Amino acid sequence: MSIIKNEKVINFSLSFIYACLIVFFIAHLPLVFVGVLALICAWNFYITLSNKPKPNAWLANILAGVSLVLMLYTIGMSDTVILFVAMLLLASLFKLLQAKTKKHYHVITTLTFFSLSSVYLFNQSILTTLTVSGLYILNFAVLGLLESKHNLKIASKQSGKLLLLALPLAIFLLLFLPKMPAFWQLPGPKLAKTGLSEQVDPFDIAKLSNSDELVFRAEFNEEKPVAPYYWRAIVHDEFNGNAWLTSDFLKYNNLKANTQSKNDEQLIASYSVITEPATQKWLYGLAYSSSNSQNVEGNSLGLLRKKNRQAKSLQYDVNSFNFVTLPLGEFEEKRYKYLTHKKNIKTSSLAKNLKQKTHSDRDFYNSLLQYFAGTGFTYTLTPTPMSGDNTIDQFLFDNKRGFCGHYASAAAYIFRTAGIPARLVSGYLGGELNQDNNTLTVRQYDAHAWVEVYLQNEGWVIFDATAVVAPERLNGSLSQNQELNNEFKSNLDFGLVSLSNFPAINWLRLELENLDYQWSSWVLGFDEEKQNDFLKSIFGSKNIWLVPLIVLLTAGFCFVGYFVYLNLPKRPAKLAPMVKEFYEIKAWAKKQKINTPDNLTPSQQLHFFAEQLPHSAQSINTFSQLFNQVRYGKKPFTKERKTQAKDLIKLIKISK
Amino acid sequence: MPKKTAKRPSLFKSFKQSLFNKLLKNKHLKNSITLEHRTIYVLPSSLGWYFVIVAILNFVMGINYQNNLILIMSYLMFVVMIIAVLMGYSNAKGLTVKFKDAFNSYAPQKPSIVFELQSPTVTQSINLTYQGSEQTHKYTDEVDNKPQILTLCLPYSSRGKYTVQRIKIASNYPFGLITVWSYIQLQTDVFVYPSLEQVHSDAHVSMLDEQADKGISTQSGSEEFEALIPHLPEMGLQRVSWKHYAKTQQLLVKEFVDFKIANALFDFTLMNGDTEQRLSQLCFLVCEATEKNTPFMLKLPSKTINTNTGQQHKQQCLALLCSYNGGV
Repeated sequence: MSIIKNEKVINFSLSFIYACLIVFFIAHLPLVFVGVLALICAWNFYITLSNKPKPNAWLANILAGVSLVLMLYTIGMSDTVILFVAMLLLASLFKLLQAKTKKHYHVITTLTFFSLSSVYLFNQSILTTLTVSGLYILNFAVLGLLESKHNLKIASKQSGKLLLLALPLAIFLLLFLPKMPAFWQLPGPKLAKTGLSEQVDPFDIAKLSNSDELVFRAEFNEEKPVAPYYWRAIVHDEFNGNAWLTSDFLKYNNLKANTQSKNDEQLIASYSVITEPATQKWLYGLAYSSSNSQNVEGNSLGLLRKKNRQAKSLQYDVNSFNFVTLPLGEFEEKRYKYLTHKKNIKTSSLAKNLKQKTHSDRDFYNSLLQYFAGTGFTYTLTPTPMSGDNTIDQFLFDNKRGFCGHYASAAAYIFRTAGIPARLVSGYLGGELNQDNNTLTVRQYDAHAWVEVYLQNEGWVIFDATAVVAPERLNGSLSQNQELNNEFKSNLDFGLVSLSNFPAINWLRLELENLDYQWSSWVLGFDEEKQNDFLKSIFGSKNIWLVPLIVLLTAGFCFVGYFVYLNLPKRPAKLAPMVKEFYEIKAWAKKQKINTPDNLTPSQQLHFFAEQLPHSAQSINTFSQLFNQVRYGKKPFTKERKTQAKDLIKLIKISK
Repeated sequence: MPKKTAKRPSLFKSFKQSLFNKLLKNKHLKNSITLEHRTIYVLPSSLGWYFVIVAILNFVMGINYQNNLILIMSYLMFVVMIIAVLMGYSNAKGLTVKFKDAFNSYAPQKPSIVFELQSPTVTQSINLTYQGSEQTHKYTDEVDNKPQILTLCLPYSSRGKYTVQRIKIASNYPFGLITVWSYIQLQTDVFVYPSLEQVHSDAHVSMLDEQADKGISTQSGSEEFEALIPHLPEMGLQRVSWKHYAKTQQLLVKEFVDFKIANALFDFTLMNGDTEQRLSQLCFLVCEATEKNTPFMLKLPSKTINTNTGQQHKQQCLALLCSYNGGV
């Protein structure tokens, strides 16, 4: 049927696009399945490069069936989004393996437009955007190649030009077309990485692997509150012997309580937070947080939650208040004192000892802090794993080395044994402050766990044993902490953060960070709310109805303008020297009603004019000489000759 | 001879045909067409529809995940689609397709039509499609202001006279997202002559002598000397045979004749085989006779063409052979 002119280049380009796509999805797909995809992709490359025929339909279909089973087995049905992406990739790669006609390639390229977009579900960084945009251009070039005989370079140039032409209008539409709310709830992609989990179980961890992945950024509106910043995310209230969990009671029975809203005078900070895409519902805030943003809800613990479980970056405003000193309810008090598991005998006796020595809860709090400060505890990211049912005993009395989880676990246990209500909180501590734009960048390695204790007359107070063991940890991020720096860096995947000793690289890192911040704040975070503000700032709130009209008019105007441009009469090709001047004389002669026969050479025509117009004969003859010199005598058409020709034309026209 | 049973056009097809004819309003019944506003039609191609569907899917995904990057890709695709319509239209505008000639053929060769294409601005990717019951294509990459000759083969290989169907002039430029097209409906017929089958028998030659003896037609002419006849006063002196006058003192005039008689008679009933074979043999004889400049007469059961010679006579005879549809 239709013959494809550039099959080799097309195959190669599509294989390349899919190779890049596979790289994008490596982190999200099971390794075995990635291997299968890579193999098929490599096969495509091999066939293209070695001009081998494509495998027959039977073989390819059987292989596709096997891969499908493998895909279902390795990925499972739980995460529908990644399953869908995997299916899309697999289908496209097998189709490419069998594609022969133009129609097959059409199907693949159109599917590719969809596959490329699905990358953005998982990653929206600048680098990803640039790469995917490049692949878009390449995909358009493939479409062009399917139609014409051009080579890849010309086709890419054309498609790049076209997309560049279309981009301003697309951005315009994005800015001005009213944003629609989601039609229906779609399952979000489940991202694997997180620093926090609903269960804090520090004792079987041998190495806390640090990731410098961004979690969120916070921008303070006015003045920054005083450091340290404890970003609360999850409250754990149940200890099962090894780990601290969030009880079902807390999960489902902490709807928004209005008690806090009366205490506006206790506002300590207001700021906005931009989170990176994550599937968990929890969000981050200082102390008792509440938010008026659309997709965010607060609860009675002062924690923030997403309303919808959507893995996209989210921006919300937060107001943080101090905890109120309302007395705990009887039931609450009981719950925060409750310990089912009491096998850590040494710890229990330590708690009882301390309790006897002190007179108040505050006293107990201070002496416990002193205990952690003075008994030779050290902070480490590589603790010795502990097991058994008295792990807290082992930690407190034998190892004495651990990270925040250990200290928080132990402290909460001691408080509860002493009959003081306590709960474990996990979240992030600190963050890296960028002085330029007053933003705090919080990364996964800032993850932290601490204890909140309810002291009589004071309310909930933070107790952080890590603070006395490793006080540097409180001020700023781990990356700025000199003492732990070495240990920290050896722990970190190779990245720009690990090179922060070099000033130039550190500067570069901060600049990139800033750019990234602007990107997520302005591009990714441009939501309905921001759009409304933006439109109101341009049109005023009264003239908002103008927006659709203006969108339509502008788009129409652009298209009409482009259409007119396309249909403008093309300028004639550049004429040879002296030809223009010759035509000028000819046109003038025509005006004088001299009909020149068409079959004469230019010289003959000029001669003819000279005969017909004896007044200007001399000038015409001189012009004729000049014409012959330039056109046939290979004399250069210099400026002098040009002016001479012009003067001659003037003379010819004047003389009558 | 494999018999081709013509498919009865389905109801939908005939409806489509009549709708088309109504819409086109005989705008394309010309032998030369310049594509302009009135005669260019633009719609997304099948790829274009896929593309739009993917753009919509992207839009839905962008809305539901509130993802600006996906949304912008979707808008980009819509804008590109509209730009493609404009580009495609501007590309095709101004193209002139002129019918030059139709080449008839001998079965089983296919006849062809020759077009001359020209465009003031460069027009890319043009496909001429013959829209008969079977389609044929001819593709050219680029047409500019130099006239370009394009030959389109027609899908006919069996003997017959065919009315040339509508020809679609289409371009998928750019990216194949849209189809810009127009039609040209030529007012000519093409012939597929019977295949040539050599004839060795002298059947028709023997017929010749018989008829020559009967002297079917003689008329005075100038080529062949026939006889001497007595001179009459109105005859003039140019053709007087002075030799005879010198010998016999008798004024005699030389009479010449042209033998414009049926030198050959090709008769359908005298051939061997079935209808097609007979027609093939007649076709061969007609061609041979024309080549040798032998005057001939063609006789089919339905019609007879009188003796003559020359290309026009040949065309007439071959056309008759093509449209013959009686039995043996």
